[in-house]
Amino acid sequence: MKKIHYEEKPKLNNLYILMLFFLFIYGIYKNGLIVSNNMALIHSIILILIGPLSGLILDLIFEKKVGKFTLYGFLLSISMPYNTNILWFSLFLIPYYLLLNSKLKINPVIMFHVLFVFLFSLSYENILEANVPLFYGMLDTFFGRSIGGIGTTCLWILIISFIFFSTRFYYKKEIPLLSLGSFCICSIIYDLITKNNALFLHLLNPTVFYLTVFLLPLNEYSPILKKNQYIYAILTGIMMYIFSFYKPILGLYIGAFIISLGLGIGKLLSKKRN
Amino acid sequence: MKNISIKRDFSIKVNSRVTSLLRPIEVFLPYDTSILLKKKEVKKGELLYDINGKRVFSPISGTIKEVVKDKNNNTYLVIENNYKEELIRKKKLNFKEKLEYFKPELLNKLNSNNDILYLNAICDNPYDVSSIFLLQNKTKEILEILDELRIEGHFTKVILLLKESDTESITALESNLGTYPFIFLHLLPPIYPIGDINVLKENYPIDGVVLNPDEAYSLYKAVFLNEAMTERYITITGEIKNPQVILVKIGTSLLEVLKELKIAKYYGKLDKILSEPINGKEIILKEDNSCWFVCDKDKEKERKCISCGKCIECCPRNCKPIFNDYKNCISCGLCSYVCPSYIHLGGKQNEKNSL
Repeated sequence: MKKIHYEEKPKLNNLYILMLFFLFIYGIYKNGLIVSNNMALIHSIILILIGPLSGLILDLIFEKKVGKFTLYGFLLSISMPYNTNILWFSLFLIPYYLLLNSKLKINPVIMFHVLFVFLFSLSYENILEANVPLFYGMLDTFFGRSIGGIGTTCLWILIISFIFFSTRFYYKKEIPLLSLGSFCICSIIYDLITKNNALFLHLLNPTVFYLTVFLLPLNEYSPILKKNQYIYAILTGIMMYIFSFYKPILGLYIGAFIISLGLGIGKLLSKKRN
Repeated sequence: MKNISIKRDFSIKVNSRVTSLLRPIEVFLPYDTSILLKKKEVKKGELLYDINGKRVFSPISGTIKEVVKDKNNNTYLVIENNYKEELIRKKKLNFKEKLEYFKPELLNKLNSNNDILYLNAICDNPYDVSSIFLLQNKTKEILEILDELRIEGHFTKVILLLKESDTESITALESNLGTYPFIFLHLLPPIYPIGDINVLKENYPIDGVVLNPDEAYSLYKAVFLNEAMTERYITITGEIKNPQVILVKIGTSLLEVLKELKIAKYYGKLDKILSEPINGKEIILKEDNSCWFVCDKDKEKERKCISCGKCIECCPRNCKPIFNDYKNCISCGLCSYVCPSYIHLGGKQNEKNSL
């Protein structure tokens, strides 16, 4: 009965996939085309597409349309480091998809990213970055030339994504705003204490944007009530900042994972209590 | 409360002419078994009994047949129509006595020490044109009674509340307002469900007595015609060939109306728009339900909740449907309307109530 239902319903997931597709294009450009290495190009394409394609197959089997598995497959594979082993990653996708349907509401993308990178001690540099000493400036970072996940380095696409998502009714836009805000405030405080001038260095980290814009506001893995959403966003921003000292990129995921773990356990306990 | 405006499907067009179906075989009136009714024969407009502080008048002349119960355990008195339309009119009563006799529940309202009288003519349901038809067809009568109430009730002014989007009603009222200097029009944003009195009071500084068009028209009939309200407009719309407004006797069975209109096959596909389905139940057209929507196509399947929290965010009464907290619920159906998983949250509340 579409006539008496809110209209924008299916569009947020599609918009997510569309924006991820743009990130994917930039990902293969940065990690394959610039490097001028055919193997690197093929590796990038397979690594990024393995998630959404396997998800699509599952979606077509169970739902008969593009849905949750495709989106979550895409979100995970695009965030992986370039050095990810495709075979191991494919095996990792099985428990990942199983977790998607479980009652434990820990953000699966963040959790599997942390586990995989930690387990295989992966670095986020691609072939070029690992072999040639590169010094990325602020504009480079803005246009996507920085170290990070295979498809999550293009800052301007991430910012545009946020603008588009914010127009959608079902997107929790307060979460990215507040987590970025708290991350920024932490950075300013630290700069004031240490008299450092690294605010933009921290803020222009595209992984921060990818996490806050794409992963933190995922409806199923974020709080329902507005007040809780604010607390969740602020705490995640702070934790991301703290753990970024441990490792600049993986640390962000670890910080977000700790809060997501707490939230997931809290949700599970409150469900059992009810 | 999030500002939600319900979009209307303009392919559903209601016929501009009203169909009168004023000869029902029988009518069903709300009844309580504790009431002792000795009469057998009743006349149209005859006072039968009081129930929950409201007076029940017979909408037809005929014979009292039986007392029945519906699936929700509501009791009804059945009156069989003799088609004579023998009318009873109360005469030689002054203004207050008329109100006391016909609408005692409104008398207390009007006696309260308020300065302003409001007419809540806001139509929330985008498919319900019943009140628009009433306002258009009975504009003069409604304005006349409002002015009379202003004088008798010592109100300083009368404010007509309408949505900015209700252009037809605005036009109908504006063209007649010139002769009533103390009646003013006030337009409100087209937010759903601002027509609900609780939501209206929260969003608009109302300090006075609020009437709706049906109440105003029934008062007109009582004061100027010495008659009780016996009929009302209802809209039957949706995915049917000929959506229309029908004038029916209060207490008519909806199934009988659909049979008359030759669309009885849609009975199981009716929805009280934005509220929940009433499939399979006997529906009696009471005073408060004015629109029935036929959904011929299958509804979207309910999916698992994705915890977006929009049902909580949109609720005008701060309920938390996702946590089964329906305190202060007004059954506006907004939670079901915005749910991306097509979960009938408002419906779950209705089911609970009926159990």
